[in-house]
Amino acid sequence: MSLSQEPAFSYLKNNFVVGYKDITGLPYAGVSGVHMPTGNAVNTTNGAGPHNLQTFVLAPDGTVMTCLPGYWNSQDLVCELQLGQDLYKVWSDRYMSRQEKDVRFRAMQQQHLRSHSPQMIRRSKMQGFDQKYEAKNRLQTSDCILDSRLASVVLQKGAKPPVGAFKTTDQIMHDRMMARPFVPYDQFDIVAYTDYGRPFYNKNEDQRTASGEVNKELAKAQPLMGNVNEMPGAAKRARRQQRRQMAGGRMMNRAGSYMARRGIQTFVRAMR
Amino acid sequence: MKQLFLSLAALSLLAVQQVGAIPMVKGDEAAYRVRELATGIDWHTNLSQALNEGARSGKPVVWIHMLGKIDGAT
Repeated sequence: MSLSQEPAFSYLKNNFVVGYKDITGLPYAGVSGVHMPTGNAVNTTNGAGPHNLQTFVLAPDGTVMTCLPGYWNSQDLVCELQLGQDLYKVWSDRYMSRQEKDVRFRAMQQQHLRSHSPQMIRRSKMQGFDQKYEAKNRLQTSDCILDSRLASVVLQKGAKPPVGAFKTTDQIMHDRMMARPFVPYDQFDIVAYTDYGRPFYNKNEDQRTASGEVNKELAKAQPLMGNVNEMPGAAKRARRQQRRQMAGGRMMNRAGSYMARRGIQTFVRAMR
Repeated sequence: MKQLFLSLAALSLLAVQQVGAIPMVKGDEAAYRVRELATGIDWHTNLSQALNEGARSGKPVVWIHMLGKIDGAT
């Protein structure tokens, strides 16, 4: 939704050549509920759903200036796009050596992170289920965890992470970009770059009540898209949905043939 | 007094609901925005063409990886 909101929409339109690629079925893609264009939309936290959406800023020669994993607030997206433009100026500078450019790249990523407003940092809190995923699967090795002892708290039922346990998503992004100065797009390791949190991300926009709560039954029945077979739980869910659809189809067939046998005869009799 | 207490209780219940609610853009408004986004910007679906256009215009390229299509199901 953030792309269609201001200031992102006008900023994109006026300052960039824009394009997209459908990553459904690609090995690094995540899983999401199918969301129709006429469905409801909600805002979410920065960096949520990193496997489902990635926004690159590229120089026209295909070099990556920056890459934003997941969804970003419209204002924060513009702030990061501006960094992409500044990095493009550095990359285009004919008088700087490659080494100087790389040093400048790292420094600019770091400076940008330090300049984020408290509001932006608040909007960049990692989703609770992603924190749990990191703590459960790579407590000692995850670069998203600042303190493994504090991060392990989220594994207790109902417990919230203490301050300083996890990096915020804006920090994860800039830290990871710092390790990838001016990499060509076709050599950019998108799998490692977007690897944080669980592959399944869904806001259930159309399965919410008027007060905004998720209707769990409707949510379970929602069709999925993306790498459904890569996710054991989602594959099971897809099979269940397929069975439901087939059962629904059989019911319709039975009803149809009954109508054909009885209903139409009754209708014809009534017409006489 | 009792009436005041009941009103306050009702208001606080409403406030709790508001806190729990997620700001949502309803389907009609969301559909309008998707339409504006899809038609208001010239979207490339071929990276080489987008990069050529970037070289021609001197603008960097925003290239988005997404599940689905910009004007369809996502």
